[in-house]
Amino acid sequence: MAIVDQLHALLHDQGASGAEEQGLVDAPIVDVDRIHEGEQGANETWVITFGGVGDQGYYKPINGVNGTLAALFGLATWEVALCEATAWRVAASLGAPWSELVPPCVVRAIDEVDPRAPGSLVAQRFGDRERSLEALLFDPQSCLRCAFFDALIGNMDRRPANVLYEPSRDDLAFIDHGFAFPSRSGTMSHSDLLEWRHRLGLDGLEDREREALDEVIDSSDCLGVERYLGDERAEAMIARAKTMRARDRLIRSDEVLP
Amino acid sequence: MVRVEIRQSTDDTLLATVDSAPGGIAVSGPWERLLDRSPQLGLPSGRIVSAESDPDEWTRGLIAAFRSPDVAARIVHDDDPLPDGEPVDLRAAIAA
Repeated sequence: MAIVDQLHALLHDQGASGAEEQGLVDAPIVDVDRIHEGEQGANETWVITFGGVGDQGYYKPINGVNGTLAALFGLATWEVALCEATAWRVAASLGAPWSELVPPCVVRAIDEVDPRAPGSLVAQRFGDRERSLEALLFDPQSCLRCAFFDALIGNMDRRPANVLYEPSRDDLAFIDHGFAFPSRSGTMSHSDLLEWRHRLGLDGLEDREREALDEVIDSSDCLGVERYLGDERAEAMIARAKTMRARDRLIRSDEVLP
Repeated sequence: MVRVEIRQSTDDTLLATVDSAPGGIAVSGPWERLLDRSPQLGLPSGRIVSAESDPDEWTRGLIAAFRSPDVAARIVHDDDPLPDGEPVDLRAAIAA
């Protein structure tokens, strides 16, 4: 059963990328609070408060994922949680700058929310989505790097709401990667940042991006995430990497892979 | 045919009803003249489609375009519906 094997593989590897990720895996939980309850169309989201230093995270239980929306993106509800955590594992494997721009995310069971199934738990950064477009002006380099990340993971859902920017802290985070990793025949990627980079004529690869693609291509198991994603989605990610490396530029959102 | 309702999330006020039909879409409600009818992500193909070229895909794509804490869209009728996703029970898998 794919779901069990993929989930076990992910659970086995979690916690290896630093203290923050490990905290998401096993920090004691002192409070759970559902947000945006009753909101139509969106995935169910909870704020999780951990003991000790009082850090928080956002939790999306698998059984709270909008099934129709997931299906429209070519995903089962449980795959949304796996994609969210896998995006972090890709960022962590590639290292900076991506590991600094994507908040850590794990899959974890939280019985207080749903005793039947786990969900994705992402480290909280800051709450301001209102000024996300300012990031293009104040930190264009990070937005360019994120456009590359979106092209690599086949992000289908990079909208301004998924970019967090806090000018007072000069801090930026890219979130919500549940709708990503399409198979070759699946929904194509859709990223406002990727489109923006193409419009600027900056779709040529930079050295760090070439290195990252080589890491993906040279890896025997797609940076280790093949076991969480399944063969088809992992093969599509490798195909995207090879296509970009061969053409020395980012693929377009609507580009059909060879 | 696909029918989508766009509602204000806070109080469920109906802002627009969008119906797909052969060759285009029909919009009614307070947002009738405000709804952006530009090409957008069509679902489930993932291609950018116009309301005229593929009305069903374009209309379904509204539920991806509108899902904020302020405004959200939902499919209320679809002649060719996608699965809604049954709840899964993974306790045994997690415990193993």
